[in-house]
Amino acid sequence: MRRSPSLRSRVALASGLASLVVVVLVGVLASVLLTREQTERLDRSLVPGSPAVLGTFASTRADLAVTLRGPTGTRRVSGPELPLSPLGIPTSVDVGGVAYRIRTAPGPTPGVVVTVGATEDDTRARVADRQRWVTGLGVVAVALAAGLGWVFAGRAVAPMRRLTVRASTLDETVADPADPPPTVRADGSRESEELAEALTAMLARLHAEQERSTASLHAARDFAAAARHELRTPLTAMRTDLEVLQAHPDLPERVAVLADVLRAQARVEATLTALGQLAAGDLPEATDQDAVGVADLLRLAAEDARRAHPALDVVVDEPPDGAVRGSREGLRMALANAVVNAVRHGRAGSVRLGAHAGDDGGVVLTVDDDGTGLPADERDAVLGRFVRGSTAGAPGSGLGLALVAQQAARHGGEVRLEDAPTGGLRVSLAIGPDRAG
Amino acid sequence: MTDPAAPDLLVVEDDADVRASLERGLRLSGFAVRSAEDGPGALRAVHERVPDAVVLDLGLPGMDGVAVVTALRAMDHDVPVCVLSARDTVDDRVVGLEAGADDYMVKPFALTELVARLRALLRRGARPAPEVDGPAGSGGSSAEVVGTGPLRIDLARRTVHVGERAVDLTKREYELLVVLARNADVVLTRERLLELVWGYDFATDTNVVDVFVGYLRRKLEADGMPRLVHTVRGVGFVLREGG
Repeated sequence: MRRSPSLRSRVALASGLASLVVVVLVGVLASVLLTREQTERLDRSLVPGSPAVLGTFASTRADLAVTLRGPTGTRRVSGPELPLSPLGIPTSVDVGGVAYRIRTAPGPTPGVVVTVGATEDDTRARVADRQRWVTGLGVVAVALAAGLGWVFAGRAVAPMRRLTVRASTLDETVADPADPPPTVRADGSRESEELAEALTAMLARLHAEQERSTASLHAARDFAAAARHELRTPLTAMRTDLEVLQAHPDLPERVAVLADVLRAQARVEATLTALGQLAAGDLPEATDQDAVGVADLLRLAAEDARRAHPALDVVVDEPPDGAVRGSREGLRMALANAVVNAVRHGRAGSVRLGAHAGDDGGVVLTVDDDGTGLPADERDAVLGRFVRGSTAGAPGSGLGLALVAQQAARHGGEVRLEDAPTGGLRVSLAIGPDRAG
Repeated sequence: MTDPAAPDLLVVEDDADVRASLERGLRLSGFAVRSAEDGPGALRAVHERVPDAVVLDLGLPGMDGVAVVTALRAMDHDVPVCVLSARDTVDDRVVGLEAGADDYMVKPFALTELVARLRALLRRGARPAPEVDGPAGSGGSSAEVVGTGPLRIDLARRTVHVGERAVDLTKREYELLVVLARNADVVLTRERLLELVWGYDFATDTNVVDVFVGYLRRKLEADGMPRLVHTVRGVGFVLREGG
């Protein structure tokens, strides 16, 4: 991967560029001032009467050109003939290809003007010489600024370096997902601290995400193990029975053994059905928004119960009017499971289905039985998957009440197990207030 | 129809369907079967009359199968115990056997296989110790002590030492080690070991030998002793000093 220049070089480059701008500005200003100062000095030397010019117009200085103009005509005193310029104003002119600075002043006698001129070569040379110095100093200053920028930037970016080191060793410190999420600290500059905080926040988010996925993975694994376990038990009974039938074709108990095989087969089937319903209930469905009439639902559940358990006495309370939003089939299945639980584990002879308004504005569906009930300290546990109560009668999958709990959760409510007025267990399936109406 | 000579078997299983099926299947296979549905019930049944063998579900509610095996062995009952597990993770297999069970089967299993193994374990259990044929160990003519290198097995006292350290072994571990020591430097196949130690003289699909060899190694090599029980890949196991 091609790397960008380091932060340190960028700081050095920035300080070099900044000083370059300053040096150029100062240099240009100095150059302008220098040129002006040198020109003024030259101009001063051109004033007639100055020691350089006075005495005689026959110049004692080779670099001075003097031209006299009077009524009698123009006379060159020394140097080339200079053009006339406005009185008293120094002017730059070109005389025969040489740059001259000239100045015209009244002469020693009235009617005569003197034009004095000097070549600008010396002045320009001096200015150029000083400009070279300034340029040289400027270059040194820029180099120095860049160099010092590099040196000081090393200290300035140290917090970032520490942050980098800390962040690159994070992998080793988060080996155990059970550990709290690691924090990154890099004090020393606001940027590094902000970056460290951002990193810490990101790590915390990743950590939470990882914990969630680990937890769901564990749950799925436990669920699969429990499901295998649940299926193996009836399959063991089935296989043993089938081997008995195979080894003893004329067994007098043949019919009883076959009945056992069928019962074990039904257990496998019921467990598979419940597993399928649980898996489906974990998925959100479009039918969750049906308007379900409470009276309809209880009537359907009662019909299901009478059909599935012909010996059971099923009573439906006069239900309140109203409807809930949710899954008709899901709620129907939940009530059916509550009834199965009453019959199979409560050994109930009758069940009473009812509904009333909940304290929080929701709707509570109730299934009361006259069975053996369930010890109060087991009531939470049996709502879990693959958990059977100690009073459980016939073998079951341990999933029935878990299915009821799942449907309640799906409808924004919960399941409570209580003592029923009819003597057995009451299963209350509460539906959340936002689902009512 | 129960034959008075039929071996007395105790089936411990919490699931009523499985318990009923096993009771019937084992009874029809010639055993006198009693059953219990939980750990305390199993210990009560043993207290009443010690059975000839126990078939024990590991996944009992409350006091689990491992606790039952541990309790049985602690009470010095060395009846053969075959545990049944509904889980197929190695850990479960390990715990039941480590506590002193003799074999395990994973549900669902073949009844005929369970019956064959129980009969073999009962035959083996009827003998006091495995007097196995094979070349004598390095103990000389008396053969009261066998062993190789730092390993010393005192057959009369049933004690095992590696160097100065006493090693505590379950009955089945001890019998496996004695067979390996009596046949020191001879490679024994898994089938031969099943026959010599468990009495399984029929083809059976089990890795119980490997599990017990694992236990032996852990106990013998506990304090950094060099390996004595070596795997001969594709053949079996051999007890010898050095590679």
